[in-house]
Amino acid sequence: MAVDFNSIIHVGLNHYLILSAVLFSIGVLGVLMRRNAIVILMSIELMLNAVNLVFVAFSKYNQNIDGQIMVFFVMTIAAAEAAVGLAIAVAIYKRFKEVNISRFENLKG
Amino acid sequence: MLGITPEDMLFHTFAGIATIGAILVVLVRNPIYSALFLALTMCVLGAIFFTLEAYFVSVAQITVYAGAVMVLFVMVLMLFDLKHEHEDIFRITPLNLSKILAVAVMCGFLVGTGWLAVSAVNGNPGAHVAPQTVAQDLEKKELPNELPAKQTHINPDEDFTNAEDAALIDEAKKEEVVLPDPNVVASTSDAEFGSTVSLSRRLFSKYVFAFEAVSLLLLVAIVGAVALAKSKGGTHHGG
Amino acid sequence: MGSGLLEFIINTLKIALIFVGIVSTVPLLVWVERRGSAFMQNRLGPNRVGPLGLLQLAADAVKFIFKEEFIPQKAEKVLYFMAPGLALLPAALTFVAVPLSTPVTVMGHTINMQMADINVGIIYIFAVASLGVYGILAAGWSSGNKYSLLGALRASSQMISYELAMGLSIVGILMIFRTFSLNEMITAQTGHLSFIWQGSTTTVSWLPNWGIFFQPVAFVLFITSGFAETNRLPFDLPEGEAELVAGYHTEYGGFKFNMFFMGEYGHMITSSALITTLFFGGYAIPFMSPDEVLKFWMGHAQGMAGLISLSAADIASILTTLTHLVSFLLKTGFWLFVYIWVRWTLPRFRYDQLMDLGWKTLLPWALANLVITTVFMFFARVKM
Repeated sequence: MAVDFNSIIHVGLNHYLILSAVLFSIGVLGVLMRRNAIVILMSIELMLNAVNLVFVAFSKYNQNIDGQIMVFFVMTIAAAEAAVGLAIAVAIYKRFKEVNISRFENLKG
Repeated sequence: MLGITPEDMLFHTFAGIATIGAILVVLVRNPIYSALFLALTMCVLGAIFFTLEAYFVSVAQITVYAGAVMVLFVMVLMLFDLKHEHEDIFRITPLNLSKILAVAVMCGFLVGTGWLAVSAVNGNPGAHVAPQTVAQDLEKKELPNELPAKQTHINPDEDFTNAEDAALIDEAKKEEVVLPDPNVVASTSDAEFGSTVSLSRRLFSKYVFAFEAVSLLLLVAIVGAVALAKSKGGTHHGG
Repeated sequence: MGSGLLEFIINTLKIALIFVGIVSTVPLLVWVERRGSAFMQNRLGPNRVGPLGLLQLAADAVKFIFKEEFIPQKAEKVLYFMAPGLALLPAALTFVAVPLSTPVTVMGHTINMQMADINVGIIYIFAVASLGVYGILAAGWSSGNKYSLLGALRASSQMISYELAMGLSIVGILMIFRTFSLNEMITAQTGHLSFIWQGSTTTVSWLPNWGIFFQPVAFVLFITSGFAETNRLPFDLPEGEAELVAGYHTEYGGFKFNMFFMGEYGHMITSSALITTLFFGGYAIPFMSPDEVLKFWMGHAQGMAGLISLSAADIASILTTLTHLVSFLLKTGFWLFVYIWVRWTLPRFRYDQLMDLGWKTLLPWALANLVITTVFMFFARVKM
């Protein structure tokens, strides 16, 4: 099958979906592989951003403004969640002097 | 070459920077650099939103995410004195390889689902669809794989289905321009798609309950964050 | 492709010109500051190098460039080098959306006198200004110095707190002008003061149609927050000499320090430009709309059209743009002088007083201003 360069270069809805999927997967990789609690929180923010991208892309292609409203709410909730998550990280750091989650496996097994 | 337009070049540049930034977020050892790369990724995503004609959302992304949330991350990280941790993400173990493989499979799944969904609705897998008008799109419920032509006179009233919303619109149309020079101020009944006016009309009529609920959630988050951060840490103080 | 290339060249020229303009205005500002502060303190200031001491800044710049570039031993090298750039970038980016003058039409091409006519202009400026915190944090932390870190944390929490007050104080103006775009705000501020009260229009012919007459409280709040955002006295604690040595840029010398300096003055320039655009009509001349100025120059351009090979309309357009540019520069220059004036007049706030002011005074006042503006607008519309 011949590769159709025009459809790769000329940007359509698919391009935004692929970019968003790639960013989302990188975020999941960050959550799985990193051991620092704060980097895990950052990877979660990356996943939320990827989802925002999908919402905005679909909103543009369907000409429906509801997608951007959804982005508005996702942004707000992500900010609140980041604040609370960081407060928890600060509390943990005060007690244990580190935020490496491989040290907090007391409930395991 | 190959009919590449400036918009295409912009998208590909921004997408490249965003992907590289995201990969570096995960790979870099020092978490402060991780946070800075994430801030870069968010700014670039804001730029992509701008090219998608979501103007308010794009500045909100930069203000909220890159300008506030990531600043909070960076400040917290700077206050922590993190010695270089025993991060073993760089070791090639079967566990790490299986994690990468699993995530790659998930990414392929997402991409494939999206692509097939978009092209199945169009009835023609991977084809280059000709631009259609918005009215036709809404009738046929097709997802065009093309950027629609910039619509400058979309009447957001068409999307309302409620009688109450229609009454709200009628009442809003009765407003006169209050202060200087009415001719040059942006007219409020014919709003461009993605402009703040159309976004706020929808937000404060159809989604006003969600708006108020989210403000309550923010209040709870503020109180919770302050209470958690003030605690002495651990269970032995009860603080 | 031809016209696309021309536009590309014009835009690149504009970017280069405006950036060079900012960078070269900074030495002029520093000269004004040093001479002005000297006169306020009953002394002379630098007056030996060049006429009136104008070349003092050139000499200082040369000195900065030739200084040895050092890195403290405990510094984080990559971030230490990146921080001045991070501080300069938002200051340059915010100036993009500010309209300097009316668009000029020459030989069929219309050139906008602003780098980008963004339709969400004012919130774009606030968004990019909020990115200025990164430069400060990076500088403070990467220096490996406790005083720098303390200064950086103080500076960043100050900037974040006053961003809120600044954004909220503007909402009243946004409600009145009903637009985010700075160009439209200036267009709405032309002519004589006129407003609608209870359905009928009143015109006060001896006042220009400026934003300050509609939102005086917002003006006070905005200018106060502007001082805090740019880390200028009286909100100068992060850089306070005698308290934190030099705050977050203690460990910086030479050209890198110069870049921080330029960033701070760039923020000041953008802040003054915003004050004139939002509250004082921007580039518009009081009582005259840009069209009237164009007509005035058209009358005079007929004589000049014979001398140069441009048509009379082109010459009139260029002269209108120049007139408005001079008007904008005068107004912005006045507010820059006010910045410098206040710096050498008021003492510094203590840190807790500063945070109290931001959160407990400015924020409630901004909210109250918002509510009162809304109530006024409602009563202005409704005939009772």
